Amino acid sequence: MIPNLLSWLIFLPLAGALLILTVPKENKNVIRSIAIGTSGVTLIVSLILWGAFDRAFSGLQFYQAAPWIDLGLVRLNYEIGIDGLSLPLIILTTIVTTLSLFASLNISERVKEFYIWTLVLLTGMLGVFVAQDLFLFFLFFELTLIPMFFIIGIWGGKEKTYAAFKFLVYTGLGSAIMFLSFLGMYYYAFQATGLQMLGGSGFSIPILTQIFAEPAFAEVLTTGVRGALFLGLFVAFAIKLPVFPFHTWLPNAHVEAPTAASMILAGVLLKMGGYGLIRIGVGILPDQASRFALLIAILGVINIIYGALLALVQTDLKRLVAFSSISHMGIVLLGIASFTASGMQGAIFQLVSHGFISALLFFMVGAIYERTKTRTISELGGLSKSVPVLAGFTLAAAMASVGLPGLSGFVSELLAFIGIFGADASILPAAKTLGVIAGIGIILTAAYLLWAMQRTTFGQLDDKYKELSDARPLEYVPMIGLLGFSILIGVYPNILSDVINITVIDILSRIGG
Amino acid sequence: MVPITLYLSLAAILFCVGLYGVLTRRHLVIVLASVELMLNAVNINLVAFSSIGPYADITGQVFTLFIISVAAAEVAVGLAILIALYRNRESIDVIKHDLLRW
Amino acid sequence: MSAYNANWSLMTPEIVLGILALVIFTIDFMTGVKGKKPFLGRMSIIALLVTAVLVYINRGAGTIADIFIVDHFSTMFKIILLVGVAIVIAISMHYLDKNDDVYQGEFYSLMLFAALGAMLMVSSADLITLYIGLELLSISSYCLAGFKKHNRKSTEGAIKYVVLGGTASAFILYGMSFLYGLTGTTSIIDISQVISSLYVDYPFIVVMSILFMLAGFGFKISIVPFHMWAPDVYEGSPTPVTAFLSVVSKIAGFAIVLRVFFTTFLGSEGVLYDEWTWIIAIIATVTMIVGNLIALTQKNIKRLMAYSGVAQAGYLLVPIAAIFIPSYSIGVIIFYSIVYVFMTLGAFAIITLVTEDSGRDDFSSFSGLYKRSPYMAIAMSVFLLGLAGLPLTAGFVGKAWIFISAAQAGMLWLAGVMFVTSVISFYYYFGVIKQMFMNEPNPNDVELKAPLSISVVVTIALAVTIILGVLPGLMIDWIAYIQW
Repeated sequence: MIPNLLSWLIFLPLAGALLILTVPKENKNVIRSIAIGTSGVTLIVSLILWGAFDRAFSGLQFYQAAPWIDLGLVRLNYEIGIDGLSLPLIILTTIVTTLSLFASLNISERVKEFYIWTLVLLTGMLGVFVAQDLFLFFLFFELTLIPMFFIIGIWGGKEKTYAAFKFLVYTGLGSAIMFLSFLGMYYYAFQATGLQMLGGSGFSIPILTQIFAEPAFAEVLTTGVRGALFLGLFVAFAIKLPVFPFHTWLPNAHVEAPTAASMILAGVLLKMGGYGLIRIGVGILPDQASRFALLIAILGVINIIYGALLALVQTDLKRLVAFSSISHMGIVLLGIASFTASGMQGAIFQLVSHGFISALLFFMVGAIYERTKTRTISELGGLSKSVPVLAGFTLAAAMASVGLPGLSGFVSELLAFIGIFGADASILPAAKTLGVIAGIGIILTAAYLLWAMQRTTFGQLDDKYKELSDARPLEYVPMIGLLGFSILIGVYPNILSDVINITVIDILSRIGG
Repeated sequence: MVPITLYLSLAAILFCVGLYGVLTRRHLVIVLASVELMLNAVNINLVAFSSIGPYADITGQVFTLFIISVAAAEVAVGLAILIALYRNRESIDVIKHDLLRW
Repeated sequence: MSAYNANWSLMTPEIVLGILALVIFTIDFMTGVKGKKPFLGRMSIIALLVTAVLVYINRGAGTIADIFIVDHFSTMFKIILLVGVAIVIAISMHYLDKNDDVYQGEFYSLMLFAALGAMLMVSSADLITLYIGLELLSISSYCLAGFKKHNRKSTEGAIKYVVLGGTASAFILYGMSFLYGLTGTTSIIDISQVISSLYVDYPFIVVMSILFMLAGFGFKISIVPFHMWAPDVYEGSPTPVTAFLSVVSKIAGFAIVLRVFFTTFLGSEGVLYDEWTWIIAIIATVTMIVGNLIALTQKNIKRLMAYSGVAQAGYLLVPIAAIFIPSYSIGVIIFYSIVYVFMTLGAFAIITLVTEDSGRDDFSSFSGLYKRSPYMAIAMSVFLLGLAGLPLTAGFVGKAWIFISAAQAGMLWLAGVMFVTSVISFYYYFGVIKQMFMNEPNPNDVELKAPLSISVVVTIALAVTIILGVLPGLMIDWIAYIQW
């Protein structure tokens, strides 16, 4: 067993970025190989984690803790560890990023910077999923901001500057609210326990979980305080997820970002919001999470319906996919709000499955755009005749997104709906009504995706698209990879659920207590 | 004997007059003179305190001497800059110095 | 205790610096009025570094007749200030190289005198010493601000600075005069012993004198509503002087605010503390909001840095307003001051380089800097990210510490204001970054060659910013170890 495996995982990409820094920018192929090699090694490390992960142990594994900054009254720790919630998302991150690097081979301008930023981004994302100290979590969360700003701003589309700044300000405000809630947690834990924090650290997630679960501190940690903290966390992660009405940055950022960045944005960055909500919101303040279950569920339903309705009227294929992301993130909220084992599993499944599917969808849109130079749905059509492979994969991605049985989308939606229909009425009143409304939203998803597919892949082929070249060999890598994982989860969901299960049960057990 | 409050009131009035001058006068020489007025208000305060204050001692007068000499240096620099400004702009009217705004 | 048999050796660094400043002044006369004199610049840097070493050697504790105090606090701030001035002079060497019309020798010796004033201020334990130090710093700064005497903006900025600076001094003195009148002493330490009982007898006068002094010091550290001079003076002054004003003047001002408020106005068991803490909290709030919002509208890089400096002053006020343990707040401020000095001076080194190259000081001079000089563009981005408080820079740790200290004191709302305004600041800092990375260079801007002095300054500042961002423990452990 390699020691400090998690640290290797986080800092390998950063080391790769530094290595690229030393390569002259003319050697584009060297840079590309280093980048893909680095993320490939990271992928292998994450797979080793997957293999070595103890599926019967509910606590943190590969745990590492060291004091980092001693501020006199509070110590900030370098504390990392993973459980069944983090691991699937880590695998998702490494896979999607590695495949997105394949998707970005067509970037020819400022190649060096692009790969440096992508690798820094990878470090940030992995850091978020392994951090077990709120301060460290926040650090990595903020760290993802800078590379994404540059990637959208330099390699983006027409409105790239606007999109980059909108992304920056929205997520910046989100992290402001998040850090304030963290500070609030620290402050009240500090008040509750006096000067000597348990173990000396005021930001450690496991320690805070204990403090907030301790009935003896209820005098300081009143319901009002907890409620305010939870709502702060919820808003912060809602911006990232994104939840209506904080979603307006998403269409701009996704549409303007280059293909690879859209894949990472939709595939991984949004998941940070969902992850944070479960890990910190539900994990530390389970009582408040169940108290606000109805709010979460209603927002989830609004997300599903609203995203689907807006997707229905989009004329731009990439915007359509962006809005479908908003719609799908509603299912995550719905799953969380049910507070049942299957609902929570469904939420995590949806995070992972949507990561693969949306990355694939964005990749397909990017590949089609590269060939036809348009994303307007009405100008496309009949692509199955000129580029059958691309069209086929696009269709498959759409089917996965709709939730066709045998693909991952089906499993996650099914689990979430089982959860919502089995929800405890004392936690979530009117669960069945919400479930039915959400079901209508899912039908809308089928409507807009199938309609869009019908207009792009089938129908009359425009003459100017007759000579299009089909998929290049290297494009098969991300396509097959992403679709393959979606099918794998769809056919054999146990591969994920046996990792997730024990953590979900652990989290849910906190609510009952 | 004149009570100390009268001296303090005089100083307060002088300080206000000086502040008013700084804020409203357009002629830069008068503005500098107003600054001097404010400093002299302080001097009156200090001297009054040092001779008939609750804890009268010599320190206040020493402080006053320091203020007088430093203020002289300050005004010397001020006037030098004023002359440089005048050479550049042919005017020492505050209103006309509007290159730098917001 | 008499001043004759006091331990005057405590003042060695100040005396040495004064003598060296005079020597450089004299050498300047001996080598003719005009012409380039880079050797004077090098001598000044050496003089400052020698003084810094002397300050460190001399770091024990002691006072000279209650008028001059040497303790860890003053030692720390003196070293920060001296290193800051040395960096400013290194930047000036490039600037003076480009501007022949500036008298060079005077420039350096004025810088040294200003540094001397700042040192006196930091070490003063007496209102008179404080005033002398303050004026030595201020008067030198007035001259430096108006140093381009054939330039309208420079002289206009300088006269504004003189008038408003004089008014600020008058406010400080007026406040001081009442403190003296009620206690019969000008020693800060003596006043601090009687201030609590004084406050019981004359609450109104004590609060009034605090407010007057706060207004005057507020001018020096450019906090709202006493910030109006800053953008004008910053824009008009030669760029290295702008750097000087935004770093040395401001940090020295903060040192003295800390000294006066934390020794004198805390009162016994903080009875007086409640009187001014909320005022400072409100001023900090307004400063952060106004500074950051107005910075959004700026098109000129120096004015932008002025408003960003106003906002940073607001951040530094937060630990003063939110005191949990006074010595803890001092540690927070010292750390952020160090960080701020290096980030700001690094940024100003690049600003000097770029604006002197293009002759303009609006944003567009930064267009496409990445293509003209990748290293400078990356370094500038790191400094700006640091000022914005983003991770892996020292600014992130500094700000985080301020947040945490505010949370410990129970002022979560103040931390909230600070955080939201920091997010606003992303917008303008990233605006400059956008210019550098996402715009094309101006047609006649060619590759930018940095002179040695600028490269050295930028590299040092970059190293400090990143090292303290990743391993802040190096500095924090040291600061926490010191007893204030």
